[in-house]
Amino acid sequence: MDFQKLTIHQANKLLIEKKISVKELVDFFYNNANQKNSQYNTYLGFYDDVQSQINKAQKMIDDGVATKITGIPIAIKDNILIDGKIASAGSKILENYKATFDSTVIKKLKDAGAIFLGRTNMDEFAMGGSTENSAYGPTKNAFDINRVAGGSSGGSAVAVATSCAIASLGSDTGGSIRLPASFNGVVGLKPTYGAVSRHGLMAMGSSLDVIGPFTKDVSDSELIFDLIKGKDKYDSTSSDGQKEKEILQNKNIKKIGVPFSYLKDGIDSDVLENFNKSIEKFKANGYEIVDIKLPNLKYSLAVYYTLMPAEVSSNMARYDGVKFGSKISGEKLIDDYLKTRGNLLGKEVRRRIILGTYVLSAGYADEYYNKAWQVRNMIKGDFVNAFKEVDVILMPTSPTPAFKIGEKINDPLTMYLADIFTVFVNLVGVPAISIPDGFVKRDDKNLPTSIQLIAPHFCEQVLFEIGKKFETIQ
Amino acid sequence: MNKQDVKKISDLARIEMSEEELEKMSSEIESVLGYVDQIKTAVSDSSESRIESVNIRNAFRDLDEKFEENEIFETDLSRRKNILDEAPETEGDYIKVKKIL
Repeated sequence: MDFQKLTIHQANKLLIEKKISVKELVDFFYNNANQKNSQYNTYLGFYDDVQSQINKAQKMIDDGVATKITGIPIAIKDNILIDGKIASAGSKILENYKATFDSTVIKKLKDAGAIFLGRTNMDEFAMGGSTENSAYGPTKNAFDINRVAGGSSGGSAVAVATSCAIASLGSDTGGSIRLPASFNGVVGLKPTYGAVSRHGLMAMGSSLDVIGPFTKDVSDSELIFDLIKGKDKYDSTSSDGQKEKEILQNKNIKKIGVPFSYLKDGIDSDVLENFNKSIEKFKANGYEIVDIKLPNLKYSLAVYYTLMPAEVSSNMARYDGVKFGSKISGEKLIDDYLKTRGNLLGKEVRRRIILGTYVLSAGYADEYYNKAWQVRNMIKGDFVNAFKEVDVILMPTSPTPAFKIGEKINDPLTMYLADIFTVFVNLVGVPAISIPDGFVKRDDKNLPTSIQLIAPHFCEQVLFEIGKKFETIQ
Repeated sequence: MNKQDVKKISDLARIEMSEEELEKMSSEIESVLGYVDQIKTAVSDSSESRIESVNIRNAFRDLDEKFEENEIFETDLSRRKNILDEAPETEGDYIKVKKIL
């Protein structure tokens, strides 16, 4: 049997009907992942207890208490904690760090019987859009190994795209799930801020971070989201979003908003062509396309690269070589800090800490940090207004297909611009899903492109409904 | 932002950097700040006369929402040992640091 293209739903059916065993299924993905790792650099490590996880899952199936994800092999981004397992966040400073508790998402998936294969490569502490900032080398794109995987959750995206896991978890602070999903032709969901608990996710930008799944299709995305979502005592910003969902009840989803004026510049013509074809498909299937204005969207990158580094500089203060992680000793205590942080944190992490410390420093906080918050609220206002008129917003996920390894790494600002269609979603806190919509050719290779659907807060259901529809009309 | 500014900020952030890196970083940060500067005009450009500034506040757990005894991180000795094991230097049951005063 060919396991490569199996979705969670299909594999679950085979397992429940006893057509295959958990061991057969997991062995296939585990072996494939091991074999392909030297080529793609997808996994930073494999867990040593896969066999006992298999036994536990098979018993759940045999006892008739299996869930939809029991026995399904998945990959975990290296910044999500599993008790007793190394979680390095792609950094030298945590090279040998073993987590001392389970994150909430892991606890939920463990209880449901999912199998964790290993931890996936990422930009150090999730800072980057290409996975080139990993201290352990870049992950290669699934369609062209000379190109980037996208980031920061590059390993998790490539694991699914190359059949080295059926699904995976990533985190998204400014596009870190959607961008690599788009670059590797898989489905990536960035849930509403607070819809999924951040407890046990290493913090980067605490007002922006969220955990979400990479999957082969939209139904699988919904399946994992339903398993990991919900209010959690250990994350006070988490919520079930009941109030917001009520607005949605019995609503006929028909109106799709597209901010056409924002799509004029800086987007590759063939990427735009694929996007326009997708619009036509929606139209042909009874959806109404509305030209919407989001006048402050043009400021979103500037706002993001002010607020995010500010939050980064605060969150990174915990890596001091005292409580956990690696340490380089100096003469005095202050030298311990300087040497540990100077040598064990990578270039991009150091850059963002400096930038964040600067925008928060006396004399500049008003000019940068406070002003950025004002503009963030203006961007939120744009979305509130837009969702009075339309049910969902449609855009491309990325203005280009995957770029070449090394192409942008020496110019931070150019690298930051790759996030142009993704960051405002995090600033506003709404959910978004990236779904493949075709291919473009670069150097004789077909590279995937994607659409991005954006819904109001806690209305992931709208994304799943339209997303599934889109897959059938593709 | 010049090299001296970056040096000052990196000292505050407790990050040691070489002269060469300070030089390079200052030009990179300068170019990012140049881009970010547009937020300064964004607010005055806006027709909205009153825009809320920072409206963030800490989100605390409801006081009536109690943790069950066993939901609080287990304080058994093995877990305590695991946490201590992650510290670079320990002595007995303590995390060890250099003399501060």
